[in-house]
Amino acid sequence: MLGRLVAAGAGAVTGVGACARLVTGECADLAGARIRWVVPNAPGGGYDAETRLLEPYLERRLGAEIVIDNQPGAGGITGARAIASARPDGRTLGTIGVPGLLVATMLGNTDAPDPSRDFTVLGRISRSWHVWAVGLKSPLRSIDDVIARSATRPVAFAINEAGSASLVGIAETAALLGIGVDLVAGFTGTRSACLAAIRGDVDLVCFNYDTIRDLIASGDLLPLLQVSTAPVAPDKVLEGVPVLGGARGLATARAKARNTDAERARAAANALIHVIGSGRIVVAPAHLPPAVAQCLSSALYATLTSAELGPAGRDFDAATGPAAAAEVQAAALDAPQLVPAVREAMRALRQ
Amino acid sequence: MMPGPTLHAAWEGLLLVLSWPNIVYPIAGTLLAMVVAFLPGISGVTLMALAVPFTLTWEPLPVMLTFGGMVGGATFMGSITAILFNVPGTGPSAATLIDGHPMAEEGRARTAIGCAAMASAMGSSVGIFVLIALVPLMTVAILAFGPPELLLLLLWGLTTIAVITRGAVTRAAIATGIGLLLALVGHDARTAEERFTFGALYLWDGIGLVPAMLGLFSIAETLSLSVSGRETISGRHHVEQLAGSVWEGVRAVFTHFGLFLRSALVGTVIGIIPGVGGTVASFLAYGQAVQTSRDREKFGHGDIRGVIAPEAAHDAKDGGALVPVLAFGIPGSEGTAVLMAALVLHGLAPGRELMTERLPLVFVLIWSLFLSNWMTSIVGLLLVKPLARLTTLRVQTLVPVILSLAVMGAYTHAQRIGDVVLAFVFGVAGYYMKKHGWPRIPLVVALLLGAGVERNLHITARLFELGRLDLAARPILFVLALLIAVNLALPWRQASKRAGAEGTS
Repeated sequence: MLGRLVAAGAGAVTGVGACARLVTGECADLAGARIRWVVPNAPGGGYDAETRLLEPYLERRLGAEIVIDNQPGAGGITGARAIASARPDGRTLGTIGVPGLLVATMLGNTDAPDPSRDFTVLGRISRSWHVWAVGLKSPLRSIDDVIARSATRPVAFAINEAGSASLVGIAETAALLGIGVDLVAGFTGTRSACLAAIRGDVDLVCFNYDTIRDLIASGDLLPLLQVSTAPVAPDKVLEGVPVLGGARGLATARAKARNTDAERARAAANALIHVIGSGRIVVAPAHLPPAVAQCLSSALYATLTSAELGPAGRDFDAATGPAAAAEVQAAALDAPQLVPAVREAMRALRQ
Repeated sequence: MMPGPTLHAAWEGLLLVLSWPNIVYPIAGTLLAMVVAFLPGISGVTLMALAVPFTLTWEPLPVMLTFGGMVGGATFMGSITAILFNVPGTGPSAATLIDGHPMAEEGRARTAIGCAAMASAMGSSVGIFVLIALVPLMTVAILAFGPPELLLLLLWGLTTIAVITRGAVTRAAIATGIGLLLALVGHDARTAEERFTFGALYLWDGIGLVPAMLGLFSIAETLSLSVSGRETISGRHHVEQLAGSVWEGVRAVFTHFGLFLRSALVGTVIGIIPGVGGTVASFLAYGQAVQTSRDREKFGHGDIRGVIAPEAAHDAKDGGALVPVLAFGIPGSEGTAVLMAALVLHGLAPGRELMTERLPLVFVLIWSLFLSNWMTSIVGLLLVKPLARLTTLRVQTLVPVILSLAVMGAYTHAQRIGDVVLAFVFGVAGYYMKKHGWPRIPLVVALLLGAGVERNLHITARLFELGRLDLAARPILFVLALLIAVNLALPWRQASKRAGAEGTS
């Protein structure tokens, strides 16, 4: 019902009529069907807003009715379970965050679906490029400063909840670079943690670049490291900020400097970037028939990269990375590689 | 003194809101939110989320105008149902029912609603004018409140329980302890481990405050009404028999202007502090009203000052609450979370640029909210007569209605059927607490503040352990510590006074 309301309204306002249907052979089965899109959060917020933005366009492209079903709770596990346990017939899909499910599984939460096993990946809505940043007053002005400082005293990071993507990113990156970290967990949201860094309560934060871009642009935060294989955005403020992965990335350089296996470090860094960068991905239950998966995946990708989204579509531009299923599937499969470093960080938090 | 550019931006923003056809947007947003507030099943927040896709092609100005109106209108009816039926429509209105509902039971619903409407509208005005004056200092104000300050602020909130529940200190302490224990249910944000969830995924997010409040007050009230033998809530059968008047309530705000102003300032300050919220503002304002009054005996039994304080604080908070949203992107409520999502989708990223280069647009939002708050209050005043009539309806007619409102309120908050079950569990507990004279407010306040206290305690302890807390550089800590000491000393002082008076007589 909610989906209908939004679709009708958005159609009236934006004249989505220009959007062509994509009822091709493999999508014929879904024409006229009622598809449930599970959002693992309450109405409002990023997941929900993105889904509601895409819904009318994808609906017309598929020739189906999409109903948004908000299933908040348990850090996204409730919604993820609803998707994983549905029938794999193309009538249920939804959005999940891989790192959160990964941490939950590692904590022994048997309710959390396994992102590498329990879903059919359909594509990525937006990716998540993490950066390390320090506050305005911090004496640490480069990643070299951080490495030098951690030789005598661990650097302090503010993170949200222990089950967050930031924890995965910090734990694995710190292990790769040989940096000692103290984690201060429990902040209520990205911005509260950033305020702690700006205030000088902690040294660093590690978050999705898009969510702290304005604080970096205003000079409140200074970026020191990009958890990526290439610059995460064409912003001047990122010029000269090292990247973690790739052949010339910091992980490889540090491994060489420490006389450890550089190739292994590069592979681990790339795996981390895959998983953390997987961002918000769209999935259906496992064992979805390939033809239906292909239909949903291509319709989703076409919608995300279409100009019909208008100004709001900038959220899905190349920089934030919509992707087709194959690329994102690799991220889900890479997730288990991160387990050791994250497990170590979780153990430290409980001490 | 307010700098010229801020004043200029405020004036420019006001002119933009009042110009034609701009004025239509906040009015339409407010009315839409108010109408939806009457409809069961869709909350104001859901309405705002639904409205986001509709506005995608709009320019930023009408978006600010419309959402400003919706944020103000979404809280409509919360206090009215609290006063009439003991059903807190929103979290912050829970503090209003402590004295508002007893007033309705005395047949003074019109006075209570009139007072709530006027205190809300004027509180909103205070909040917005303080906000305008403080815009240049906002960043400093926000940064001044870190985890240690938040910890002491929330502890101050907890200790106000001692003030609110005079005479039943032991029972209040036990109820507080139960509330704090219940606040521990869920997953530990520090370690991500589950606590007291008994394997149930539903309890992973903890005990919901909304179903708990609806159960403790609303469902308990229906049970109590059903067995009380009362024929109507007010004990009267005709509107003409009701005591008090709307204007008596409106006048009370001016009669107790000092209390009103203090409460509005408490609300404004709480609003500016990131992540605290309106419910804390309302309870703290109520606590300070009791604390600063010489004659406290009538609080909890229909004292109009107990309506003025939370209502003034709640709406004064709205203006201040926009600051963390607009300056740092930290929403203090679900409504402001959706507002932020809408702004970001329109390219209005919160931050310094928005608070400097696009300041007139920020003021458009502030003035729209201001207009909306006054509109809801005026409509509330216009509806007083028909609403007060509800307190003369037979209990047999009203109980199913109140019960339905409570069930729908519990469900629509997060759309989880488990919340309805939880509300009934708390309903039965609340009924027996009321029957046997156990205070329910301490339990609610502890449940409300418990998670925040624990979270900030852990962060503060961790920062202290890492040697990252310079107490000398944080003077606010000492002010808050003093306020807590006063709160704790007050019952002891009262007991000493009473003992002295008894000894003299």
